[in-house]
Amino acid sequence: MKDAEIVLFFGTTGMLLLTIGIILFTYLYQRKLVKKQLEFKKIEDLLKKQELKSAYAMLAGQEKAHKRIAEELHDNLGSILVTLNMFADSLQNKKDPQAQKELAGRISEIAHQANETTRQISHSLHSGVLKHFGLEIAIKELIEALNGSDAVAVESHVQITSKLSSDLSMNIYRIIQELVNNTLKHSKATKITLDLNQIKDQLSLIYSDNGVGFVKEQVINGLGLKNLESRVDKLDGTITIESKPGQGTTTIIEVPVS
Amino acid sequence: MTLVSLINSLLRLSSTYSPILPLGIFLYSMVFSKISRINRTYQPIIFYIIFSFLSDIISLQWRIEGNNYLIIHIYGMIQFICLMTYYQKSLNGKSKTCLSIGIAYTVYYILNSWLIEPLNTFNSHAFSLQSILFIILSLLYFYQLYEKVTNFFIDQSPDFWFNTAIITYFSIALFSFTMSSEILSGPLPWAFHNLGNTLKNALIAIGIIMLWKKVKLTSKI
Repeated sequence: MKDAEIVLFFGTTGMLLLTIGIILFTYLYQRKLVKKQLEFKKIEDLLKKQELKSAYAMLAGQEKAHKRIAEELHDNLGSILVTLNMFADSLQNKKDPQAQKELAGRISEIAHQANETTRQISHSLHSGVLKHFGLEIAIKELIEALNGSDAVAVESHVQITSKLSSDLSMNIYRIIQELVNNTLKHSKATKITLDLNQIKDQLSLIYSDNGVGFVKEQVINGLGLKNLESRVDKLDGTITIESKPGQGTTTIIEVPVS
Repeated sequence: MTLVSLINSLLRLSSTYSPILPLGIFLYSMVFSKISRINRTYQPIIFYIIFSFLSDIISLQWRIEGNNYLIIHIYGMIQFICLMTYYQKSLNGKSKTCLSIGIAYTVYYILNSWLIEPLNTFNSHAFSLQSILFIILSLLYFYQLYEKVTNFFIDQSPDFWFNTAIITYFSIALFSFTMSSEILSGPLPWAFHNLGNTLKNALIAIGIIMLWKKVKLTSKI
Protein backbone atom coordinates (compact mmCIF):
# COMPACT_ATOMS: atom_id res chain seq x y z
CA MET A 1 0.00 0.00 0.00
CA LYS A 2 1.36 3.40 -0.97
CA ASP A 3 1.69 6.20 1.59
CA ALA A 4 -1.08 8.20 -0.08
CA GLU A 5 -3.45 5.24 0.14
CA ILE A 6 -2.63 4.73 3.83
CA VAL A 7 -3.35 8.41 4.53
CA LEU A 8 -6.56 8.19 2.51
CA PHE A 9 -7.71 5.03 4.28
CA PHE A 10 -6.97 6.12 7.83
CA GLY A 11 -7.99 9.72 7.23
CA THR A 12 -11.37 8.73 5.80
CA THR A 13 -11.96 6.08 8.47
CA GLY A 14 -11.05 8.57 11.19
CA MET A 15 -13.42 11.18 9.79
CA LEU A 16 -16.19 8.61 9.47
CA LEU A 17 -15.76 7.41 13.06
CA LEU A 18 -15.72 11.00 14.33
CA THR A 19 -18.90 11.75 12.40
CA ILE A 20 -20.65 8.63 13.70
CA GLY A 21 -19.58 9.60 17.24
CA ILE A 22 -21.02 13.11 16.93
CA ILE A 23 -24.29 11.90 15.39
CA LEU A 24 -24.72 9.18 18.01
CA PHE A 25 -23.95 11.56 20.88
CA THR A 26 -26.47 14.15 19.65
CA TYR A 27 -29.07 11.48 19.02
CA LEU A 28 -28.71 9.73 22.39
CA TYR A 29 -28.45 12.98 24.37
CA GLN A 30 -31.54 14.45 22.73
CA ARG A 31 -33.45 11.19 23.18
CA LYS A 32 -32.59 11.13 26.87
CA LEU A 33 -33.77 14.74 27.30
CA VAL A 34 -37.04 14.18 25.46
CA LYS A 35 -37.72 10.98 27.45
CA LYS A 36 -37.11 12.85 30.70
CA GLN A 37 -39.33 15.72 29.56
CA LEU A 38 -42.16 13.34 28.58
CA GLU A 39 -41.84 11.48 31.89
CA PHE A 40 -41.98 14.74 33.84
CA LYS A 41 -45.02 15.89 31.86
CA LYS A 42 -46.74 12.59 32.65
CA ILE A 43 -46.11 13.09 36.36
CA GLU A 44 -47.25 16.72 36.22
CA ASP A 45 -50.46 15.63 34.48
CA LEU A 46 -51.00 12.98 37.15
CA LEU A 47 -50.49 15.51 39.92
CA LYS A 48 -52.84 17.97 38.24
CA LYS A 49 -55.40 15.20 37.81
CA GLN A 50 -54.98 14.27 41.46
CA GLU A 51 -55.40 17.89 42.54
CA LEU A 52 -58.52 18.21 40.40
CA LYS A 53 -59.88 14.99 41.87
CA SER A 54 -59.42 16.37 45.36
CA ALA A 55 -61.03 19.65 44.39
CA TYR A 56 -63.97 17.83 42.82
CA ALA A 57 -64.33 15.68 45.93
CA MET A 58 -64.34 18.82 48.01
CA LEU A 59 -66.92 20.51 45.77
CA ALA A 60 -69.09 17.41 45.77
CA GLY A 61 -68.88 17.32 49.56
CA GLN A 62 -69.81 20.98 49.78
CA GLU A 63 -72.73 20.53 47.44
CA LYS A 64 -74.02 17.56 49.42
CA ALA A 65 -73.69 19.53 52.65
CA HIS A 66 -75.54 22.52 51.15
CA LYS A 67 -78.33 20.25 49.99
CA ARG A 68 -78.66 18.72 53.45
CA ILE A 69 -78.71 22.18 55.04
CA ALA A 70 -81.45 23.31 52.64
CA GLU A 71 -83.49 20.24 53.58
CA GLU A 72 -82.87 20.79 57.30
CA LEU A 73 -83.83 24.47 57.00
CA HIS A 74 -87.02 23.67 55.16
CA ASP A 75 -88.16 20.57 57.07
CA ASN A 76 -86.90 21.25 60.57
CA LEU A 77 -86.14 24.88 61.31
CA GLY A 78 -88.92 26.05 58.97
CA SER A 79 -91.62 24.06 60.79
CA ILE A 80 -90.31 25.20 64.22
CA LEU A 81 -90.52 28.84 63.10
CA VAL A 82 -94.06 28.35 61.79
CA THR A 83 -95.08 26.89 65.19
CA LEU A 84 -93.32 29.76 66.93
CA ASN A 85 -95.22 32.27 64.79
CA MET A 86 -98.51 30.52 65.59
CA PHE A 87 -97.87 30.66 69.37
CA ALA A 88 -96.84 34.33 69.13
CA ASP A 89 -100.17 35.13 67.39
CA SER A 90 -102.09 33.18 70.07
CA LEU A 91 -100.28 35.06 72.83
CA GLN A 92 -101.72 38.38 71.60
CA ASN A 93 -105.30 37.02 71.97
CA LYS A 94 -104.86 35.54 75.46
CA LYS A 95 -106.20 37.70 78.34
CA ASP A 96 -105.60 35.30 81.20
CA PRO A 97 -102.16 36.01 82.79
CA GLN A 98 -101.70 32.33 83.68
CA ALA A 99 -102.41 31.23 80.09
CA GLN A 100 -100.08 34.02 78.84
CA LYS A 101 -97.32 32.77 81.14
CA GLU A 102 -97.78 29.19 79.92
CA LEU A 103 -97.71 30.25 76.27
CA ALA A 104 -94.63 32.40 76.84
CA GLY A 105 -92.95 29.35 78.39
CA ARG A 106 -93.83 27.29 75.28
CA ILE A 107 -92.52 30.08 73.02
CA SER A 108 -89.26 30.16 74.95
CA GLU A 109 -89.00 26.36 74.65
CA ILE A 110 -89.58 26.45 70.87
CA ALA A 111 -87.10 29.33 70.45
CA HIS A 112 -84.55 27.22 72.33
CA GLN A 113 -85.33 24.28 70.02
CA ALA A 114 -84.84 26.58 66.98
CA ASN A 115 -81.52 27.69 68.38
CA GLU A 116 -80.43 24.06 68.90
CA THR A 117 -81.44 23.15 65.34
CA THR A 118 -79.48 26.12 63.95
CA ARG A 119 -76.42 24.96 65.89
CA GLN A 120 -76.79 21.42 64.52
CA ILE A 121 -77.10 22.69 60.94
CA SER A 122 -74.06 24.88 61.43
CA HIS A 123 -72.06 21.93 62.73
CA SER A 124 -73.24 19.77 59.85
CA LEU A 125 -72.06 22.44 57.36
CA HIS A 126 -68.65 22.60 58.98
CA SER A 127 -68.00 18.87 59.16
CA GLY A 128 -69.50 18.08 55.73
CA VAL A 129 -66.47 19.32 53.77
CA LEU A 130 -64.13 17.42 56.05
CA LYS A 131 -66.11 14.23 55.67
CA HIS A 132 -65.81 14.33 51.89
CA PHE A 133 -62.21 15.45 51.79
CA GLY A 134 -60.75 12.83 54.15
CA LEU A 135 -56.99 13.38 54.40
CA GLU A 136 -56.13 9.71 54.57
CA ILE A 137 -58.01 8.91 51.34
CA ALA A 138 -56.56 11.93 49.57
CA ILE A 139 -53.00 10.87 50.51
CA LYS A 140 -53.71 7.29 49.51
CA GLU A 141 -54.95 8.42 46.08
CA LEU A 142 -51.92 10.65 45.59
CA ILE A 143 -49.57 7.76 46.40
CA GLU A 144 -51.47 5.43 44.08
CA ALA A 145 -51.13 7.96 41.26
CA LEU A 146 -47.39 8.29 41.89
CA ASN A 147 -46.83 4.53 42.06
CA GLY A 148 -48.82 4.18 38.85
CA SER A 149 -46.52 6.61 37.03
CA ASP A 150 -43.48 4.24 37.19
CA ALA A 151 -41.32 7.28 37.80
CA VAL A 152 -40.94 6.80 41.52
CA ALA A 153 -41.86 4.17 44.10
CA VAL A 154 -43.64 5.42 47.22
CA GLU A 155 -43.79 3.62 50.56
CA SER A 156 -46.17 5.10 53.07
CA HIS A 157 -47.64 4.71 56.51
CA VAL A 158 -50.53 6.96 57.50
CA GLN A 159 -52.14 6.75 60.92
CA ILE A 160 -54.62 9.41 61.97
CA THR A 161 -56.46 8.63 65.18
CA SER A 162 -58.90 11.57 65.44
CA LYS A 163 -60.90 13.74 63.11
CA LEU A 164 -58.71 16.60 61.88
CA SER A 165 -60.04 20.05 61.09
CA SER A 166 -60.58 20.77 57.39
CA ASP A 167 -58.00 23.57 57.51
CA LEU A 168 -55.34 21.30 59.01
CA SER A 169 -56.18 18.47 56.59
CA MET A 170 -55.95 20.81 53.62
CA ASN A 171 -52.62 22.26 54.74
CA ILE A 172 -51.07 18.85 55.47
CA TYR A 173 -52.21 17.64 52.04
CA ARG A 174 -50.73 20.71 50.31
CA ILE A 175 -47.46 20.23 52.24
CA ILE A 176 -47.21 16.63 51.03
CA GLN A 177 -47.99 17.74 47.47
CA GLU A 178 -45.25 20.39 47.66
CA LEU A 179 -42.74 17.82 48.99
CA VAL A 180 -43.63 15.37 46.20
CA ASN A 181 -43.34 18.16 43.62
CA ASN A 182 -39.88 19.10 44.87
CA THR A 183 -38.76 15.48 44.75
CA LEU A 184 -40.01 14.96 41.22
CA LYS A 185 -38.70 18.26 39.90
CA HIS A 186 -35.26 18.37 41.43
CA SER A 187 -34.15 15.21 43.22
CA LYS A 188 -34.07 12.50 40.48
CA ALA A 189 -35.18 10.16 43.25
CA THR A 190 -36.47 6.64 42.61
CA LYS A 191 -37.94 6.08 46.06
CA ILE A 192 -40.05 8.16 48.47
CA THR A 193 -40.95 7.21 52.04
CA LEU A 194 -43.86 8.96 53.74
CA ASP A 195 -44.84 8.53 57.39
CA LEU A 196 -47.77 10.49 58.82
CA ASN A 197 -48.59 9.66 62.41
CA GLN A 198 -50.84 11.22 64.97
CA ILE A 199 -49.62 10.75 68.51
CA LYS A 200 -52.19 12.25 70.89
CA ASP A 201 -52.43 15.93 69.92
CA GLN A 202 -49.32 15.97 67.74
CA LEU A 203 -49.18 15.20 64.01
CA SER A 204 -45.79 14.09 62.76
CA LEU A 205 -44.83 13.90 59.08
CA ILE A 206 -41.53 12.29 58.06
CA TYR A 207 -40.88 12.51 54.34
CA SER A 208 -37.69 11.27 52.72
CA ASP A 209 -36.36 10.54 49.23
CA ASN A 210 -33.23 8.86 47.90
CA GLY A 211 -32.50 11.63 45.39
CA VAL A 212 -29.45 13.76 44.68
CA GLY A 213 -29.98 15.98 47.74
CA PHE A 214 -28.85 19.59 47.90
CA VAL A 215 -26.81 22.11 49.83
CA LYS A 216 -29.31 23.87 52.08
CA GLU A 217 -27.62 27.27 51.82
CA GLN A 218 -28.00 27.23 48.05
CA VAL A 219 -31.76 26.64 47.98
CA ILE A 220 -32.80 28.40 51.16
CA ASN A 221 -34.62 31.10 49.18
CA GLY A 222 -36.36 28.68 46.81
CA LEU A 223 -40.08 29.29 46.40
CA GLY A 224 -40.95 25.63 47.14
CA LEU A 225 -39.19 25.71 50.54
CA LYS A 226 -40.69 29.10 51.42
CA ASN A 227 -44.18 27.77 50.65
CA LEU A 228 -43.54 24.79 52.90
CA GLU A 229 -42.25 26.93 55.75
CA SER A 230 -45.15 29.35 55.44
CA ARG A 231 -47.71 26.52 55.59
CA VAL A 232 -46.02 24.93 58.60
CA ASP A 233 -45.85 28.36 60.31
CA LYS A 234 -49.56 28.83 59.69
CA LEU A 235 -50.19 25.60 61.59
CA ASP A 236 -47.86 26.63 64.46
CA GLY A 237 -45.64 23.69 63.59
CA THR A 238 -41.92 23.08 63.11
CA ILE A 239 -40.03 21.94 60.02
CA THR A 240 -36.57 20.33 59.82
CA ILE A 241 -34.90 19.59 56.50
CA GLU A 242 -31.87 17.30 56.36
CA SER A 243 -30.07 17.05 53.04
CA LYS A 244 -26.59 16.54 51.63
CA PRO A 245 -25.53 16.21 47.98
CA GLY A 246 -25.84 12.58 46.95
CA GLN A 247 -27.53 11.48 50.16
CA GLY A 248 -31.20 12.28 49.56
CA THR A 249 -33.44 14.56 51.58
CA THR A 250 -35.45 14.04 54.75
CA THR A 251 -38.09 16.51 55.90
CA ILE A 252 -39.62 16.26 59.38
CA ILE A 253 -42.73 18.30 60.16
CA GLU A 254 -44.42 18.43 63.57
CA VAL A 255 -47.83 20.08 63.86
CA PRO A 256 -50.13 20.38 66.88
CA VAL A 257 -53.65 19.00 66.46
CA SER A 258 -56.07 21.34 68.16
CA MET B 1 -12.05 -9.23 -13.41
CA THR B 2 -10.18 -8.95 -10.09
CA LEU B 3 -11.94 -8.52 -6.76
CA VAL B 4 -10.64 -4.94 -6.43
CA SER B 5 -11.96 -3.91 -9.82
CA LEU B 6 -15.27 -5.65 -9.07
CA ILE B 7 -15.64 -3.71 -5.81
CA ASN B 8 -14.70 -0.54 -7.65
CA SER B 9 -17.30 -1.13 -10.35
CA LEU B 10 -19.98 -1.94 -7.80
CA LEU B 11 -19.24 1.18 -5.78
CA ARG B 12 -19.27 3.35 -8.91
CA LEU B 13 -22.57 1.83 -10.03
CA SER B 14 -24.20 2.20 -6.59
CA SER B 15 -22.96 5.79 -6.35
CA THR B 16 -24.31 6.73 -9.79
CA TYR B 17 -27.72 5.15 -9.39
CA SER B 18 -28.27 5.58 -5.64
CA PRO B 19 -30.13 8.93 -6.12
CA ILE B 20 -32.92 6.83 -7.63
CA LEU B 21 -33.78 5.67 -4.09
CA PRO B 22 -34.57 9.11 -2.53
CA LEU B 23 -36.05 10.38 -5.80
CA GLY B 24 -38.26 7.31 -6.13
CA ILE B 25 -39.49 7.67 -2.54
CA PHE B 26 -40.09 11.37 -3.10
CA LEU B 27 -42.11 10.80 -6.28
CA TYR B 28 -44.05 7.97 -4.62
CA SER B 29 -44.89 10.17 -1.65
CA MET B 30 -45.89 13.03 -3.96
CA VAL B 31 -48.31 10.78 -5.81
CA PHE B 32 -49.75 8.96 -2.79
CA SER B 33 -49.87 11.88 -0.36
CA LYS B 34 -51.13 14.19 -3.12
CA ILE B 35 -48.73 16.94 -2.10
CA SER B 36 -48.85 19.87 -4.48
CA ARG B 37 -45.77 21.63 -3.07
CA ILE B 38 -43.16 21.07 -0.39
CA ASN B 39 -41.81 23.35 2.32
CA ARG B 40 -39.23 25.79 0.96
CA THR B 41 -36.62 24.59 3.50
CA TYR B 42 -36.57 21.14 1.92
CA GLN B 43 -36.80 22.20 -1.74
CA PRO B 44 -32.97 22.63 -2.07
CA ILE B 45 -32.43 19.03 -0.89
CA ILE B 46 -34.78 17.69 -3.56
CA PHE B 47 -33.13 19.86 -6.25
CA TYR B 48 -29.73 18.70 -4.99
CA ILE B 49 -30.68 15.03 -5.47
CA ILE B 50 -32.08 15.72 -8.95
CA PHE B 51 -28.93 17.60 -10.04
CA SER B 52 -26.69 14.99 -8.43
CA PHE B 53 -28.40 12.24 -10.41
CA LEU B 54 -28.35 14.22 -13.68
CA SER B 55 -24.67 15.13 -13.33
CA ASP B 56 -23.74 11.51 -12.54
CA ILE B 57 -25.56 10.27 -15.63
CA ILE B 58 -24.13 13.01 -17.88
CA SER B 59 -20.58 12.65 -16.55
CA LEU B 60 -20.78 8.88 -16.99
CA GLN B 61 -21.48 9.49 -20.70
CA TRP B 62 -18.80 12.21 -20.94
CA ARG B 63 -16.25 9.99 -19.18
CA ILE B 64 -16.80 7.33 -21.83
CA GLU B 65 -16.27 9.93 -24.53
CA GLY B 66 -13.36 11.65 -22.78
CA ASN B 67 -13.09 14.35 -20.10
CA ASN B 68 -15.99 15.05 -17.70
CA TYR B 69 -14.35 17.76 -15.54
CA LEU B 70 -16.55 20.54 -16.96
CA ILE B 71 -19.61 18.76 -15.59
CA ILE B 72 -17.88 18.31 -12.21
CA HIS B 73 -17.07 22.06 -12.06
CA ILE B 74 -20.70 22.96 -12.80
CA TYR B 75 -22.04 20.32 -10.41
CA GLY B 76 -19.74 21.54 -7.61
CA MET B 77 -21.31 25.00 -7.82
CA ILE B 78 -24.88 23.69 -7.99
CA GLN B 79 -24.23 21.37 -5.03
CA PHE B 80 -22.89 24.31 -3.02
CA ILE B 81 -25.86 26.60 -3.85
CA CYS B 82 -28.44 23.90 -3.01
CA LEU B 83 -26.91 22.91 0.33
CA MET B 84 -26.04 26.47 1.37
CA THR B 85 -29.65 27.52 0.66
CA TYR B 86 -30.82 24.61 2.83
CA TYR B 87 -28.57 25.68 5.72
CA GLN B 88 -29.54 29.32 5.33
CA LYS B 89 -33.13 28.26 6.00
CA SER B 90 -32.59 25.56 8.62
CA LEU B 91 -29.90 27.11 10.85
CA ASN B 92 -31.56 29.52 13.28
CA GLY B 93 -30.02 32.99 13.35
CA LYS B 94 -27.28 32.09 10.84
CA SER B 95 -29.03 33.32 7.70
CA LYS B 96 -26.73 36.30 7.10
CA THR B 97 -23.59 34.28 7.91
CA CYS B 98 -24.65 31.63 5.38
CA LEU B 99 -25.32 34.31 2.76
CA SER B 100 -21.89 35.90 3.32
CA ILE B 101 -20.11 32.53 3.17
CA GLY B 102 -22.14 31.68 0.06
CA ILE B 103 -21.10 34.85 -1.80
CA ALA B 104 -17.44 34.58 -0.74
CA TYR B 105 -17.21 30.92 -1.73
CA THR B 106 -18.94 31.50 -5.09
CA VAL B 107 -16.40 34.23 -5.95
CA TYR B 108 -13.55 31.94 -4.87
CA TYR B 109 -15.01 29.01 -6.84
CA ILE B 110 -15.24 31.01 -10.07
CA LEU B 111 -11.74 32.48 -9.64
CA ASN B 112 -10.36 29.01 -8.79
CA SER B 113 -11.94 27.43 -11.89
CA TRP B 114 -10.70 30.31 -14.00
CA LEU B 115 -7.18 30.83 -12.71
CA ILE B 116 -5.94 27.98 -10.47
CA GLU B 117 -7.72 24.71 -11.33
CA PRO B 118 -9.07 25.18 -14.86
CA LEU B 119 -12.08 23.39 -16.36
CA ASN B 120 -9.96 20.56 -17.81
CA THR B 121 -8.72 19.49 -14.34
CA PHE B 122 -10.40 18.27 -11.16
CA ASN B 123 -10.98 21.26 -8.83
CA SER B 124 -9.62 19.52 -5.74
CA HIS B 125 -9.13 22.70 -3.64
CA ALA B 126 -12.65 23.97 -4.20
CA PHE B 127 -14.23 20.60 -3.35
CA SER B 128 -12.02 20.19 -0.25
CA LEU B 129 -12.96 23.65 1.00
CA GLN B 130 -16.62 22.94 0.27
CA SER B 131 -16.41 19.69 2.27
CA ILE B 132 -14.92 21.50 5.26
CA LEU B 133 -17.61 24.21 5.05
CA PHE B 134 -20.45 21.70 5.02
CA ILE B 135 -18.92 19.61 7.79
CA ILE B 136 -18.81 22.79 9.92
CA LEU B 137 -22.39 23.78 8.98
CA SER B 138 -23.75 20.32 9.76
CA LEU B 139 -21.87 20.35 13.07
CA LEU B 140 -23.54 23.71 13.81
CA TYR B 141 -26.88 22.11 13.08
CA PHE B 142 -26.11 19.24 15.49
CA TYR B 143 -25.06 21.80 18.10
CA GLN B 144 -28.42 23.52 17.55
CA LEU B 145 -30.14 20.17 18.22
CA TYR B 146 -27.98 19.64 21.31
CA GLU B 147 -28.86 23.07 22.72
CA LYS B 148 -32.55 23.19 21.86
CA VAL B 149 -34.73 20.66 23.67
CA THR B 150 -37.40 19.54 21.23
CA ASN B 151 -40.50 17.69 22.33
CA PHE B 152 -40.06 14.88 19.80
CA PHE B 153 -37.40 12.27 19.10
CA ILE B 154 -34.98 13.65 16.50
CA ASP B 155 -34.95 10.46 14.47
CA GLN B 156 -38.45 11.52 13.36
CA SER B 157 -37.09 14.77 11.99
CA PRO B 158 -36.19 14.93 8.26
CA ASP B 159 -33.53 17.57 9.07
CA PHE B 160 -31.68 15.13 11.35
CA TRP B 161 -31.37 12.64 8.49
CA PHE B 162 -30.48 15.27 5.87
CA ASN B 163 -27.70 16.58 8.11
CA THR B 164 -26.50 13.07 8.90
CA ALA B 165 -26.33 12.46 5.14
CA ILE B 166 -24.42 15.67 4.49
CA ILE B 167 -21.86 15.23 7.29
CA THR B 168 -21.34 11.54 6.43
CA TYR B 169 -20.79 12.24 2.73
CA PHE B 170 -18.41 15.17 3.15
CA SER B 171 -16.45 13.48 5.99
CA ILE B 172 -15.87 10.41 3.83
CA ALA B 173 -15.21 12.40 0.65
CA LEU B 174 -12.90 15.03 2.19
CA PHE B 175 -9.74 12.94 1.94
CA SER B 176 -10.68 11.75 -1.55
CA PHE B 177 -11.08 15.37 -2.71
CA THR B 178 -7.86 16.49 -1.04
CA MET B 179 -5.83 13.58 -2.40
CA SER B 180 -7.55 13.33 -5.78
CA SER B 181 -4.29 13.40 -7.79
CA GLU B 182 -2.79 10.50 -5.77
CA ILE B 183 -5.85 8.22 -5.69
CA LEU B 184 -6.53 8.47 -9.43
CA SER B 185 -3.53 6.22 -10.05
CA GLY B 186 -4.41 3.83 -7.17
CA PRO B 187 -6.32 0.55 -7.29
CA LEU B 188 -9.61 2.00 -6.01
CA PRO B 189 -9.99 5.49 -7.50
CA TRP B 190 -12.85 7.39 -5.78
CA ALA B 191 -13.93 4.24 -3.94
CA PHE B 192 -14.42 6.06 -0.62
CA HIS B 193 -16.20 8.94 -2.34
CA ASN B 194 -18.56 6.54 -4.08
CA LEU B 195 -19.25 4.75 -0.81
CA GLY B 196 -19.96 8.11 0.86
CA ASN B 197 -22.26 9.18 -1.96
CA THR B 198 -24.25 5.93 -1.73
CA LEU B 199 -24.59 6.32 2.03
CA LYS B 200 -25.64 9.96 1.60
CA ASN B 201 -28.43 9.05 -0.81
CA ALA B 202 -29.64 6.25 1.48
CA LEU B 203 -29.74 8.62 4.46
CA ILE B 204 -31.53 11.32 2.42
CA ALA B 205 -34.06 8.64 1.45
CA ILE B 206 -34.76 8.03 5.16
CA GLY B 207 -35.12 11.82 5.58
CA ILE B 208 -37.70 11.91 2.78
CA ILE B 209 -39.62 9.05 4.41
CA MET B 210 -39.71 11.11 7.63
CA LEU B 211 -40.84 14.13 5.60
CA TRP B 212 -43.63 12.03 4.13
CA LYS B 213 -44.68 10.81 7.58
CA LYS B 214 -44.70 14.42 8.79
CA VAL B 215 -46.96 15.37 5.87
CA LYS B 216 -49.32 12.54 6.68
CA LEU B 217 -49.55 13.78 10.25
CA THR B 218 -49.96 17.48 9.52
CA SER B 219 -51.54 17.27 6.05
CA LYS B 220 -49.00 19.78 4.73
CA ILE B 221 -45.23 19.98 4.71
